[in-house]
Amino acid sequence: MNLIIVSCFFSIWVLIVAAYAFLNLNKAKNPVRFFINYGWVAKWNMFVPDYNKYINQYHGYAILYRDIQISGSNSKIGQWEKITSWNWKPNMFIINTRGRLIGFNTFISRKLIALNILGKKDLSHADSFKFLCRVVCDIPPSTSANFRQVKFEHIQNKKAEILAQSEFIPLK
Amino acid sequence: MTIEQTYRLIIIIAFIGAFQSTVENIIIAIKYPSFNKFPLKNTSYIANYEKWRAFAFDYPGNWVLLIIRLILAGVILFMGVFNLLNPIVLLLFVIVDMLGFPRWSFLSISDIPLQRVLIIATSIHLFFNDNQISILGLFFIYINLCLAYFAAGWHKIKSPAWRNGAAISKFCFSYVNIKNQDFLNRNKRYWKYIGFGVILFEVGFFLSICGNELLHTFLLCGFIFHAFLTIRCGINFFFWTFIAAYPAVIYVNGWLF
Repeated sequence: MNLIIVSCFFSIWVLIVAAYAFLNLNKAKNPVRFFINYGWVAKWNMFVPDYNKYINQYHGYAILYRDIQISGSNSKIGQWEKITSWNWKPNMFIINTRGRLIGFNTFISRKLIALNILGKKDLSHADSFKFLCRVVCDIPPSTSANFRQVKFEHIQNKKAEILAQSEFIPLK
Repeated sequence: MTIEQTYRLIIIIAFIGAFQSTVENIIIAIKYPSFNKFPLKNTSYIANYEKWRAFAFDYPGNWVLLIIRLILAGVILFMGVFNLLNPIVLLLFVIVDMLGFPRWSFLSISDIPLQRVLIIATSIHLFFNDNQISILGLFFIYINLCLAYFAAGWHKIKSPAWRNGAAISKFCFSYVNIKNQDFLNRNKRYWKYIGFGVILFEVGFFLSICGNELLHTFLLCGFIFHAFLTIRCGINFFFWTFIAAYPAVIYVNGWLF
């Protein structure tokens, strides 16, 4: 009896995993959503840059920030700096956060580009961009800057289009 | 290897990975505190029916959960090494992982579903203590591993970028840190061959239980593949989970032949 119950349990699990991996069940309202939200299924489409038009990594992107020093009526605005590897050198392969932070960049970027493709023009107030700005502001400033501005660019055919740009965010 | 040893090895390897991923998440939370502090509860990421677990994925609960996850991963690793595994502790780890999942899903977490397969199969083995169920669990792990590889290969087959080698070239640029565009463009033919090699390995992995020669070939290729991604590209989150499933493949191959 136990064997039958466990067999059924495993079979149903395999069917759900296979259905999510091979069928287009990524829509917001479907029964599989529960398994997605709790981390039971994966699409297994890592490193497939042209998986679909919304998450096409060929839509290049750039996350940039610049530091601003404002004291009294004087302000000194720094150069835009591009975030590449989150200032983390992969010197230890056992404990290395670089891959995860690149994953964070990719996740946020895909969301912003997808929103843009779906027609949303002002992305400065999108949750993804707000989250990105907060994390980018944790990168220590190189000078004694007290504000930081973040922007997200969408790059197509070597032309960069600004999708979102923050206000001057005070650095803590 | 006996069934007991196979499951122990699976858990030991998987929880080295779980411990590592938790340490990495803690490092990220320390270096970039806003990653943990940004409130997710009222964002578009969280559905209404999920808000009840905001205590777990929003600050400060997510920090508490992170520490609990680290302790549990260490305890399970210890239990695995000293043959003290307990299904309740394993399931507790899964519950903690599920509660905090919305936060961790921003980082790369594609290995989590396979990790859950390993944990649940081991819990069922420990709970029932029945030889047939335990063997079924190892088949279940093997099938899930094959599904993961096959799906990854299948999506690559459908991708024009993988078929023409552009995806490998882009991967080398982004992850292997080869920034010389001339070199990348000049060797398109080789990127294409490497791409086909990866697809062939992923799609054909289910053949690994068809005899010792195929088993050794596929497991060696898999080990080199994941080790390369870990050491050269810093993509270390797949390594432990996928390698942890290999003892199940070895056992299933031995059981069949």
